Amino acid sequence: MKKVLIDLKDIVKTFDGQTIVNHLNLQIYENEFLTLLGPSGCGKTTTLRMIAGFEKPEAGVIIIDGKIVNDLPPYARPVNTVFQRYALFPHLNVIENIVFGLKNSSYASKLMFYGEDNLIKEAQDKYPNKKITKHLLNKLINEKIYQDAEYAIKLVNLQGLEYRKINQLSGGQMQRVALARAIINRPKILLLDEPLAALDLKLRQNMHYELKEMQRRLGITFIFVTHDQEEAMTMSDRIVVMNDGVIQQLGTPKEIYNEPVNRFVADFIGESNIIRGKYIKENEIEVLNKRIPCVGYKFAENEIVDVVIRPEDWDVVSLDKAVFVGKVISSIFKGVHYEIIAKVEDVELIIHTYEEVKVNDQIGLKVDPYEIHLMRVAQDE
Amino acid sequence: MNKYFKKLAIPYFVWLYVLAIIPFVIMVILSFVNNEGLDFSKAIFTLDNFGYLTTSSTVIAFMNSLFYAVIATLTCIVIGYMVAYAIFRSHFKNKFLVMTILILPMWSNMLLRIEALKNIMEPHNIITDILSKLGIHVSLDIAGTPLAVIIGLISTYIPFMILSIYTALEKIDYSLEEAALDLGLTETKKFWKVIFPLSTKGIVSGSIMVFLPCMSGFAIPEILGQGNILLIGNVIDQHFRNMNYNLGSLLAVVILIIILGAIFLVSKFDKEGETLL
Repeated sequence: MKKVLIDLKDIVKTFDGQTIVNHLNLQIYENEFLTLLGPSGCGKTTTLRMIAGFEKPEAGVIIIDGKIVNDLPPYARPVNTVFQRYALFPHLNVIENIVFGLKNSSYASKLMFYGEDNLIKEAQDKYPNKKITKHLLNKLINEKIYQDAEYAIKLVNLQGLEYRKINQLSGGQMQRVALARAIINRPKILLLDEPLAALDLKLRQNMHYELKEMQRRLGITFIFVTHDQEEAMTMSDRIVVMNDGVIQQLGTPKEIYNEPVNRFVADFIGESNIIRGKYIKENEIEVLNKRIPCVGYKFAENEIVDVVIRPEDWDVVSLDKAVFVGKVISSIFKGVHYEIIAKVEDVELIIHTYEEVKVNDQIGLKVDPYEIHLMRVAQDE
Repeated sequence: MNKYFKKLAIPYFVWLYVLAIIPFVIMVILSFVNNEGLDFSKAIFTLDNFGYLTTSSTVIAFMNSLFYAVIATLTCIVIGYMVAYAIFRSHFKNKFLVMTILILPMWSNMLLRIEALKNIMEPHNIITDILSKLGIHVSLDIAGTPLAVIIGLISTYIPFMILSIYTALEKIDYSLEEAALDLGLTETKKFWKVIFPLSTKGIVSGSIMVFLPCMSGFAIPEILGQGNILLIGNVIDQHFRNMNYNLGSLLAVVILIIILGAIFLVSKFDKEGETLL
């Protein structure tokens, strides 16, 4: 049983009468990489900002590590944030930015952070003939802070840039400074607000790997906000898909991709063909006027359902083996595959295939039963 | 740049040469010669004028100028920062309008304002008259004192300070404040570690704009000091009035050099040159 670190209970947040987060319930476990995924304006950033303490919910409770933190200011929460535009201090250099949080905390909290008993013992070992004074401990703490900073700099690969000015760094380097500045405080939770949005594709892909690796090594909870589904897929242990302030689906990347619960999730996560169909009986559906087998879904007999088939799950076959026959409307080379739009029974389907097909060709199509995903039709449709 | 556009600046350059650079050159020449008024026909080259710089009356006037300028600038920094910060933190929809109202006095004639201020500082004026009609007998009798001059300097030049500090504060990215709070700083610490350091440029540029006119001006000490307080500006003024152009020019050139030196120092300190803009 994993330990719940953050518990959001029935959170409501409105701005100017507009509901941004609508009765949100979410439990976040210790040591997991959770991604809040959704289009802009879906409430994901607001949710993150409420956890950080920059916004206050109108209703509901936020529990972090067993404590209700609704009224705690940001500086009193065991949380650190990596901001979207980094928010590095322009008047400080790289290392000063990194030590900023630790250095400016009170003496009491510094003692707590490094453990008072440990510090005294270390001071006695180091200066056996000296009386342990506040001054001496402060000196020791300062040394430790800079050691930690060096470690953090190594962790984010910024060696040699310690004394650079912030405005002399590239976007990727600023990103790393922001990361180091947050993790040096050893937060229980690291909040990342679209931190990769400003980086180019190659750098972004590297950072995916590095972030995941860092999270595993540090053993802290990462809450990551993004609108990029690929980013979410690569890094997350669990993904929360949000829209209009409501959680649409919560699950592992695999579950979200293969078994989207509704049209929104299916549409948002990757490309997909969503076709109206009918659940005939167990393991059989009717779609595009053909009866085909499927596996593993339970609906009422003859219920209308949404059938989801991913573009890459279609098999293009010769006409004699085909279940469906379509006419190619467009065919675009996308590097690895061709993206084909084909019309079958007046429905346009997106199909990914490795072989080239010509526009206006007739093609045969087939889909394996286990690739078919069925969804209940939403009430308001 | 297109060479045709360069011509657009010609009227100003003519103006600048005629009214600033040529007079300045004449002033430099005047400080090295001894002559009657502006008659150069009997001018003799001399360094005697420089001896005047060390006479006690000049030194005292210099020190006075420095003292009043420093006091006025420091007070302007403190009061100006508080006002600028209050507006910066306020929830006014149109902060620009609030700033404009604060700066409005700057647009009226300075001499008029100073005269009005002197009037209030005298024992009997329109306000004491009205108050005594109401049975309240108070009067502010400070005209002619150092305090009056300092109040005059501050009230005249503080808008510059408020404006430049406010501009610096407005430029601070709000996410930096959030980052400071997020990193565990309390509100007070956040101010001293993030907001204040990032607004020092405003303080520096405001200080230049207050210090320089305080240092060289002569109208305010003349009117509010009623002749009791002699700043270097007054000394220059007197020399020119007495047709002693040589000493007047010399002092003016010295002050100009001090001012240029100050600006040079600031530009060294602030390499991006944001302060002076």
